[in-house]
Amino acid sequence: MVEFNNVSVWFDDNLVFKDLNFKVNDGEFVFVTGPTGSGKSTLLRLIYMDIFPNRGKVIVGRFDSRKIKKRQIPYLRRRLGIVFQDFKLLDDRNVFENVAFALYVTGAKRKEINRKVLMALTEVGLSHKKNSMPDELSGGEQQRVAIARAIVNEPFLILADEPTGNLDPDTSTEIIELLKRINLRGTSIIMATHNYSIIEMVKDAKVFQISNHTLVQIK
Amino acid sequence: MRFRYAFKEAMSGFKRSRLSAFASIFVLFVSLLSMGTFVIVGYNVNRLIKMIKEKIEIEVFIKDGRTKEQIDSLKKIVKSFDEVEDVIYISKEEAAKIFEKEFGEDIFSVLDFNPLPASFKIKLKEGFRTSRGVESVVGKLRKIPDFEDVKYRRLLLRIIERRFQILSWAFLGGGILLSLISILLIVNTIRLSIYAKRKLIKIMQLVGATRGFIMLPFLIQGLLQGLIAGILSAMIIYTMLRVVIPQFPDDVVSSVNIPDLFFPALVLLGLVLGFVGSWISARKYITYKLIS
Repeated sequence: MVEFNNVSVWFDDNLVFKDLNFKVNDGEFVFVTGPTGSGKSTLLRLIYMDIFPNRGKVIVGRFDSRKIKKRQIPYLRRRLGIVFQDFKLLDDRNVFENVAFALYVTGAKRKEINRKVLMALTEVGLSHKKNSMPDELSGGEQQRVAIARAIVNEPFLILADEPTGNLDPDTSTEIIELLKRINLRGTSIIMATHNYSIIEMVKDAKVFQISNHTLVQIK
Repeated sequence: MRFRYAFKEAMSGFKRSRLSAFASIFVLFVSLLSMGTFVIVGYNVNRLIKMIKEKIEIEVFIKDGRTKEQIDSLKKIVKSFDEVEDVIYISKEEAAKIFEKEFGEDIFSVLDFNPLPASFKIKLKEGFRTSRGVESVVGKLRKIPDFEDVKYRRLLLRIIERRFQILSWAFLGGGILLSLISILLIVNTIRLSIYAKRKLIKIMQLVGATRGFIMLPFLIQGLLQGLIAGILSAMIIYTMLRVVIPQFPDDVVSSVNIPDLFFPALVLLGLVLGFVGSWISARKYITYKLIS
């Protein structure tokens, strides 16, 4: 479902990946770990096709990095859910509108938007706060809104880039539990983190470490 | 859903970059006002010149002692010229009457014979009422030995033509320059709006919005600016023409004409300039990269 074939990436003279081969199957929970600056975010960006390999190819679902046209990228992103460390919520809209936003852009009908947003907010346990503004929420709650926005389009894959990086340990555990529940329903998850205590919370996850410009499976 | 959303975003973009939106509407308004004035002045000057040119005639004097048959065949020859619309024959007797009317004195009271020659008044077809058209006809007339003298106002014609050409070029150049300036200002306003909404745009790209969807609110914003400037300038010009100018007693000023569809065209021009400016800006400043 996600496949890297001999992928090499460099920025100017700075080599990030060399002949990387990597595969994620349906329903897997995968951690990518490594020190800051080793290329965790770059790996995720290759998947949501914000950057492209200098050599080799990345296949995500039916999209191939060598064949995809720029105007097709939005349709790839609609099949993915992306979560960041800094939540990336819109401060001038409430919780409901932040989640609904992901459906607006697809041109969904109002009725369908209402139903799906409430389902997603229930899933993350925030349906009672649908009218709150982001700055009225705790960090953990904000990240749950971001996760609701990521799952509202029913993606086959969630990409999470240090989603617990700004959160305290208890809140981090809540977020990981939430992601585990989402994963149990069949959605694959690829999470970048350098926090080993988080990795230990997901017993049957695959763990890859970035070292020497490639990925090594350590679990 | 999609359009309502885009419209809402466009309005909020307006509010957020109020000052620069106001500035670009104002400049667009001023340039539409100037272009509109240019068009009206140009149109009316052109009308005036046409009226003057209509009066341009060539007078050719016929040597004495020609028979009626000779004159008829001369008239036919002149009328067959491509440039000529109409030929009017003025006999010696008619010329004497005209003389009497203009000078208030009977020519026979001064002289005991009529010295005035018979003549043709030649009216040219519309496309040939230029100095070149006149000279071509005059050249042909001079080759005919039955004619004595040809009279026409060459200098006046030349001056009118040259003035009008300079005026037209100035209008065209000024209009283009002002349009370019207003487009640049709109590009800048929309760029500021795009910058103010960069986070929104990134999140839109993150959740899979197409480029057209992201661009739409900004295009609507540009169209709205053009529409407002267009309506404002149309209202001001209308007020000037209908209310202010008739206050002046001068006949020339108060009989100003407005070309057909002038006001709709002015509003349309505002819309087009607004759209072009926002389109350039959106194409240039909304990039595909999520993380830069």
